[in-house]
Amino acid sequence: MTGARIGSSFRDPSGFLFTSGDTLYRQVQPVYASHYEYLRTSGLYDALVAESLLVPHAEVGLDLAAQPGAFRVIRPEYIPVVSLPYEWCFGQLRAAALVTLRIQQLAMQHGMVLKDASSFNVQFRGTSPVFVDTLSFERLTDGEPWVAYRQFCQHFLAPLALQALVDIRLRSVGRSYLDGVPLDLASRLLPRGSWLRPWALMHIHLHARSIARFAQTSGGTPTKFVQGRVSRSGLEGLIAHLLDAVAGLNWSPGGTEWAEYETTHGYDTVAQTAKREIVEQFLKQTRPAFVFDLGANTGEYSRLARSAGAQVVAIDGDPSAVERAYQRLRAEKETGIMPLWIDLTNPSPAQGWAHREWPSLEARGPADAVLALALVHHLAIGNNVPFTTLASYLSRLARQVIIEWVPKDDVQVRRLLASRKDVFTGYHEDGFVAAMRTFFRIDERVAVGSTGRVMYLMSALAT
Amino acid sequence: MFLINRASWVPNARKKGVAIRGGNASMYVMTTVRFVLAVCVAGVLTPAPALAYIDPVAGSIMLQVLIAGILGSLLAFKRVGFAVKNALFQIWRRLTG
Repeated sequence: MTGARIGSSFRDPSGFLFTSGDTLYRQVQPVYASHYEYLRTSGLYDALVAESLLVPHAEVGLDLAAQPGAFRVIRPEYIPVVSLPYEWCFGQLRAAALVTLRIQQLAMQHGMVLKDASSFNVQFRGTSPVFVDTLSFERLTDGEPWVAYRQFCQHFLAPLALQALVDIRLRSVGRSYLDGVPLDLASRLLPRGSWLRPWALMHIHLHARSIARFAQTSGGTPTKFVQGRVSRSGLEGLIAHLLDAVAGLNWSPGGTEWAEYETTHGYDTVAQTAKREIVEQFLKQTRPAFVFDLGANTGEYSRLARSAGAQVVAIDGDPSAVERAYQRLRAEKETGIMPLWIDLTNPSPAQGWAHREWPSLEARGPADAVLALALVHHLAIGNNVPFTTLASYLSRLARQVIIEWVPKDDVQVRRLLASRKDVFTGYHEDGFVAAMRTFFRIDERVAVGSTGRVMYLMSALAT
Repeated sequence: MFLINRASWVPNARKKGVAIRGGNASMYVMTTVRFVLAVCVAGVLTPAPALAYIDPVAGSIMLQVLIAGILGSLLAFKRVGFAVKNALFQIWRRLTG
């Protein structure tokens, strides 16, 4: 028996995830045996996989089990990079919610039900959401309410409503509340007008009040207990209503799609072409399989990396840029680029119980290469990050870096310095290169036309 | 198991000894709504088994029990409406086509 248990896989007694070597496995425990068998025999598994809603798996030998007494050991299909719901843009969270509800509908049609509705159970293959928890299905018992109703509202409906109706930045609340936004908090934050929307009234406002009403801590010593019963048609009505609610929630960046697409860089067309050619050449030289594109904006250079054969995580701190990238890539059915909304000045930390549940951004690397284009000045001047710590962080994220030096007299840097005192005496190319040399070997240096900007290709020093 | 404390389902006004006639209009409406909800909920509660490793939370189940009936009926109406619309469309197509 081998295997290291995944830190987040401890709540559900039905089974757990573990890794052995570089491969991810899931051990199914005997307590889940009948549900697991029914998932296969009812036809639900095949239906879900046919619609690309559930990650497929292969059964492997019990000798691979991480612990004795396994009922089955399965090997789920490989998901290149884990993403966390608080890193998703609005469209990604909405798509994940719709997938969860569609799965619940299909499950009910096959006599099963989702026993949890955590947003962490959804991952992205490029821009396509897929459910990854094979053990989330249980046989539907007649009259049983949907046990995951509250969880769905907290993980999906409440954050989507807050983003669509209040402020897109409220997604960050999800980073603090890993079991979803508490409904009483969502109810307080939503505008009064939301009480007039039947879905918000029922699933958030009254839901929050009902939870508070029945909280046993406030109700004194329980005297008599009863159980709730929901008819099959009632359950179908509930899911259909949630589907309508989620489908009706939208957020459009800046009001018009693609309005600012590819207009935020400081280049003319000639220089832009030159920069693209240099990046393409560097990518040809390095042939990375996995790339972090930091400050990806709408993913223009992520596409170059993808064309060079890489799986790309396109990271940006601007929700509008990430939303645009996601919508455009999704329309193209792109499976090799995953946009994520992460503020690089405060990248995702290790989260959850004992810091072991959800990995930091760094722990998901190292990538083969990092693209850091038009980024240095934002970190070094916009966030006062010293070159040495920037170089150190980049060396932990990837083995190679394609990085753009932006000089102080560049229009974008002058813009950053327009309203503040220039305390950045060390911001010059020699200082940048000296700091990078602490962690990297300089492989290439190519000037970008006559812009004053310079592209570097660097390789991390062996440690 | 969804354990619900039936004793906790008492309108605030009664609990706190507030006279309904003497209260303001919104309090009267809220108390009435709560009373109606309590009656509806009590009417549909029967034992049912349940399995789960997450806490469904009693108040969430209570609300679900209450609204599922309404939403189920709504969906049924929608389906009937769609079927009628579809049938009328087919008739219209035959007549005109």
